[in-house]
Amino acid sequence: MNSDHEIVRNILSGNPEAFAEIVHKYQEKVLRLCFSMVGPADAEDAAQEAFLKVYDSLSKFRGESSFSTWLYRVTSNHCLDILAKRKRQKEDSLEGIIEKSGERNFSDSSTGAASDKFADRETVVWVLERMPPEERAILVLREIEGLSYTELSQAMSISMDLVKVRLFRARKLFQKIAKKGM
Amino acid sequence: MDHESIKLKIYEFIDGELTPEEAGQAAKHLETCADCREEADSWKSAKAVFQSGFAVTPASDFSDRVMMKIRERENAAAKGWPSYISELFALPYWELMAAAASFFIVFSYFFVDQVREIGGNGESSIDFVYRSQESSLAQMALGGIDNEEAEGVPYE
Repeated sequence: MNSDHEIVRNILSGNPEAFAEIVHKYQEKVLRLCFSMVGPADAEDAAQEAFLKVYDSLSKFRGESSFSTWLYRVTSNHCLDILAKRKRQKEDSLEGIIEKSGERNFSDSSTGAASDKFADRETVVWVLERMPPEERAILVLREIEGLSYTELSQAMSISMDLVKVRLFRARKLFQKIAKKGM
Repeated sequence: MDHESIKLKIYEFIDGELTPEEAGQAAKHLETCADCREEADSWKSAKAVFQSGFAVTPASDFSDRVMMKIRERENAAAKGWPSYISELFALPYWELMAAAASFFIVFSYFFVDQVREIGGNGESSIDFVYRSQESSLAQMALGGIDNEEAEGVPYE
């Protein structure tokens, strides 16, 4: 199998069909990232658009990070754009007002142990949806995609110190929202 | 080191991002601090859901659909659309609106400027017409011009 760099060179030298190899290789990762960032309803469209953005931006890939880290960067930025657009649309709508006041019970028992709060994917998705986009992105990239601190720093264009602090804040916020929802 | 800073290190410990020496200190702290231990256990359970609960399977034709869109773009580019036009229509809606608004403002400025030139002395063509009519009416009132002349009928 060709390396990512070789595939990119092949595409840029006039063989767009070689991009299919990239899509095959990364479709699951990109779709999963979109799913956890923008939710199930828009995940597939977002993933397709992200791949098109990746294709359009291939000439900007300089190889300073691994191709997968760069791909995560393009995809997460695309998801952040979608979330920003969605926020603008929601702010004035009735849905936004209802959503702000809405709360949900995570379990039938309000005396459950802390670990019970994170028992299923729906709960985690529910909490993620209530987090600010930047915090959501770093948490998803770390916990679902398993990026290291160095990769997070490259994918989000922030320093290592900021990665540590933002990740810590994101986790605290995640737990706070989870507790509030109980 | 305050407790929040220690907690930050505990998360780094869970992530496996500490040096062996720092990891030893973090493990030692966890043995003695119930608060940090509870938080670490809670986060480990969340981590398990993150890692196992987000398996997604792309549709079987997912990559075909992506490639179809790419082929459509490549074909459109090959048909001779200049690349800058394709790029313009690929812009987000608000950017297109901003470009259109800028064009309208610049166009309006030059259009108004041209209209003003017609009247001369900085007055618009509309001002010029009104001034002419007012002048004619004043002459009529003073008897210096008859109705026929005012209506544009020439002298015989």
